[in-house]
Amino acid sequence: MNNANTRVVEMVVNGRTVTGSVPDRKLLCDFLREDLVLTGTHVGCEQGVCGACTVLIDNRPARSCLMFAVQADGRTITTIEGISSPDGSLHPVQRAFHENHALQCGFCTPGFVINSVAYLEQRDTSEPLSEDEVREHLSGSVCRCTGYTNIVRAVVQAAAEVDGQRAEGGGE
Amino acid sequence: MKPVPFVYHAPRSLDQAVSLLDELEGDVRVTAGGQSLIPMMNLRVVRPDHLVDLRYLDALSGIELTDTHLVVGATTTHRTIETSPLVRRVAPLLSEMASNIAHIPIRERGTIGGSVALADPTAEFPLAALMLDAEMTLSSVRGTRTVKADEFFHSALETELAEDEILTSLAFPLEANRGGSAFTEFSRRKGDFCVAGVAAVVRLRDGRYEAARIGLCGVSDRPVLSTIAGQLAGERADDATTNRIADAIADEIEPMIDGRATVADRRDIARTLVRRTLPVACERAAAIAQGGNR
Repeated sequence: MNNANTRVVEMVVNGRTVTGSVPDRKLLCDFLREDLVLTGTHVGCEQGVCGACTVLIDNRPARSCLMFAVQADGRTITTIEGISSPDGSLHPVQRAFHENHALQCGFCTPGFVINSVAYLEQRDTSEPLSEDEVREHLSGSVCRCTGYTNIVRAVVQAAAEVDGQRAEGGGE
Repeated sequence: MKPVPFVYHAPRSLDQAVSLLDELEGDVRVTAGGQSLIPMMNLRVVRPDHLVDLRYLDALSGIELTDTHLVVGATTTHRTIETSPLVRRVAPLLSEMASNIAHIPIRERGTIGGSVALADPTAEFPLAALMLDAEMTLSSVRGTRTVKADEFFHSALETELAEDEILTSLAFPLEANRGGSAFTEFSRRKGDFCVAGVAAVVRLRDGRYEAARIGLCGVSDRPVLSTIAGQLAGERADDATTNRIADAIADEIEPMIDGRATVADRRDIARTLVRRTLPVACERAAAIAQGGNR
């Protein structure tokens, strides 16, 4: 077997071009955590169920445990570390999580935040975001602490702000 | 857990890909979205020697309308199919079924070809293929052939696809999409593999069924079409007929036993799902008949 078989990969992570040498079987989440020391991406179930490892791949949410690092070659990745502004100020979703006490142990939080950021930036904003819609789109993330109520509240609050920003920013 | 070591291949053309399948020795797996295969690899249920990734084969991805068919490339993602205005217009059942698959991040990566080639008996797209008479195109170094959905699924995780073949596209005849359609499934938690699911496509005339097709997933080792549903033609489209056909289908199916539901449970669930699905399909068929379009 080619146990030692490694390959060079190059990708853009949080706006920075990075290269690495990885064995074919190395999962993207492990590359992010171990090689790039971006430990904000959490690894829970490793079978796509818990949602803690969710990152953005070319701006779309995806499980980093269900992709090999070699498959991310040439792609653009955003992790939880890349969500806040360069000056360190929180993204509206992060701030809403903080203000609404939408996290307790914090293990699942990066996945929830990434998922919500992607959704709020892409959804059809002709209607204000409803709690049902939030529950539907966050159904792929599991939290064992909060009972979800405050998470849903936080995302609805953040949506109002992100919708406003999108209305101002997107003239087209 | 982590997968066993394997060798990764990323061919740049379909020719290269089928040559790899022809030449490589051992357990060779094709991957596109990987949303079923990689969990199985992480659990070491699947231990491939080689992984052939279709990510660079752009020609395998996309949705196209011809005069007679909606042609969907095998590596088109569930999310693309779910949100495509074209699919919603000409094959609404396909987009409705897509929206029931797992969760958004999974749908962003998972592909229709992967779902159909895997042939999980509880999966949505194999049933969609069967319901809508999909014609699957399979390629290998030996050439290309087309297989109809009713011949494609052999049993759980077993299909007509040979070891050296790649599923490249699915063509859905527009004729099979005529009428009103609906899909409902039952799962313990949102997004889990369903215990059972029911799809219906019906055409109505003057309050009666002109044609009806009802199919189920999760009740057998492969997706199944109800034979009894064919008898709906000519019947009045009302609650009494719905209840009668729901009971008949619950008796007709031969559910498997697994850890998630007993035979009796599955019959009950199938009956309830038919009762929920058929009226929605009828309502949509009536709306189409009223609107006069198609």
